[in-house]
Amino acid sequence: IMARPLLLPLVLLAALGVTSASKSVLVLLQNVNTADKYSKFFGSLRDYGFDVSVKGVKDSTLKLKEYGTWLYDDLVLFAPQTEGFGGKIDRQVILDFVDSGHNVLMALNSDASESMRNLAAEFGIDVDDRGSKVYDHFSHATLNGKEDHTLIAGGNIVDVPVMVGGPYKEPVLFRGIASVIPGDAELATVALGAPSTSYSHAPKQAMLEPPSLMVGSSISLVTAVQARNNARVVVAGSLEMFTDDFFDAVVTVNGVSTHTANWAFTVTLARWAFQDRGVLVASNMRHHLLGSDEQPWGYRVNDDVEFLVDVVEVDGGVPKPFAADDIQLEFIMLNPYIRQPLQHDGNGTFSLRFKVPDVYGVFKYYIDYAHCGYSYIKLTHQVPVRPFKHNEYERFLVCAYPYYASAISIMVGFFALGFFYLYNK
Amino acid sequence: MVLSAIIGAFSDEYKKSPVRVKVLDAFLIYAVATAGLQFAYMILVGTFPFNAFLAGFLSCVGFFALTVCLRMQVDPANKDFAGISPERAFADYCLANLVLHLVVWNYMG
Repeated sequence: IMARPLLLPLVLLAALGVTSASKSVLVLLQNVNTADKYSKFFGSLRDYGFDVSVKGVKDSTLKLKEYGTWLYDDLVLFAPQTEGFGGKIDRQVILDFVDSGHNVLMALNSDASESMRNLAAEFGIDVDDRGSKVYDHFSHATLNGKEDHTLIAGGNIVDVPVMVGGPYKEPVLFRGIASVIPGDAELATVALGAPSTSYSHAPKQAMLEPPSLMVGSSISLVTAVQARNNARVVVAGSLEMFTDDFFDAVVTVNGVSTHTANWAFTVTLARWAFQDRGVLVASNMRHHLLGSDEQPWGYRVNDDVEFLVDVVEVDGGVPKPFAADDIQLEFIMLNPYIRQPLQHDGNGTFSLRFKVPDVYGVFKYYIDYAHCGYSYIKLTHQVPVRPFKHNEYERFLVCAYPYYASAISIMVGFFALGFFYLYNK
Repeated sequence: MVLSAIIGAFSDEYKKSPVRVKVLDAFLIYAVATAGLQFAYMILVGTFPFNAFLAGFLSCVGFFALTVCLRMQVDPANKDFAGISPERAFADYCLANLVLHLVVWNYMG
């Protein structure tokens, strides 16, 4: 509903901008006949240029890999109850899929099976026990006249527009299972966090006590992980948040009737997950002495140098210059001697001018950029730094004049002594 | 009291030494004074061109050492060097000073 007016120009843009073949997505549903429930979600993906194939999870002809090539670019698992996969897909194949740089979007619900929970655990996400649901007695929604305390409508959307889209006025509706990630996780981000008044509980079992009970803002409803090879995995605790019913729903939250932001949220997050948004490509790394254009083999201490790199952000297949102020360059030999942010010129060229420190050795340029939502940039380049040659030292320093004067005076003294010694009677 | 007697006896004996030796002594004092001035300057300003400081300082100290050797060889009261003529001593002294100042200016930078 929110995305509809944007679809047509985006489709045209995608058609103009996409130079490579469209990305193919394999969707596995518990029952392939239920594909209509997600018709708007798949329709939006197809509008953005993805080639979506929907199959059943127990289909015996399933395969991700054939003769060493991957047949799909992205995998969507909308089958939370399944214990295993049909055909030639299994847990190890999916892990190899991610290790080779491809992406996975997983949706679970309260009936999530052990194998699905273990797969999520492989990506660092700890999903709560089977049968547990997320409850919230303060931020829940009323749908079609029925008040449901497991229908969460007050989740906190992470403030990373490249991952989930712009500020949303409407809530994202969620009904499903809770997960947690470690507080110091470097690769995982909570894309949709539960409101602070929520908790996770399995109604048929006794209530746990914190800290084993997952509560409040430590619950992650939708988690986004970007692996070190830049492959992305999104695990959503609610399969229903991708359905047409939730996209179109009009719910009442705390007495206020509102639409939902599910359509825009899930489609943007899916595009991020499939590396259609927020992909950075760094290229053309170069460095030179100020006043010269060629790349030297190395520097001398106290040289003035400039370092440049081009960074491009690829959005929907269209590259555009990246603009950020926090890409940091380090000039390291065991410890960073220089550590400063690069300045960009608006055209995607990031540069820094600095003076080589007064220490000789083998240094390296090091960029390690990990801004939330963007792919990682890791660049290194080794450069040797030599000391002064014997004729490059400063000479005739003013502060050394007394020493020059004394040596000269001693020579004059020696000359006078010679005169006196030889010629006096 | 005793100190002034020592100093008096010393200066009386010293006046009897040849003029040549007394002039060499004057140059020795000059070299020490120059070295002392340089050292005071280094304490004040810091050791920045350390090679320049060492070159200047050691030119004074080396000159002092060589002039002491010349004085020893030339002093008639010194019996150890009786076989060496003053001209020979001076020739050695010149050669040594040449080497000293060559090294000093190379190291001065």
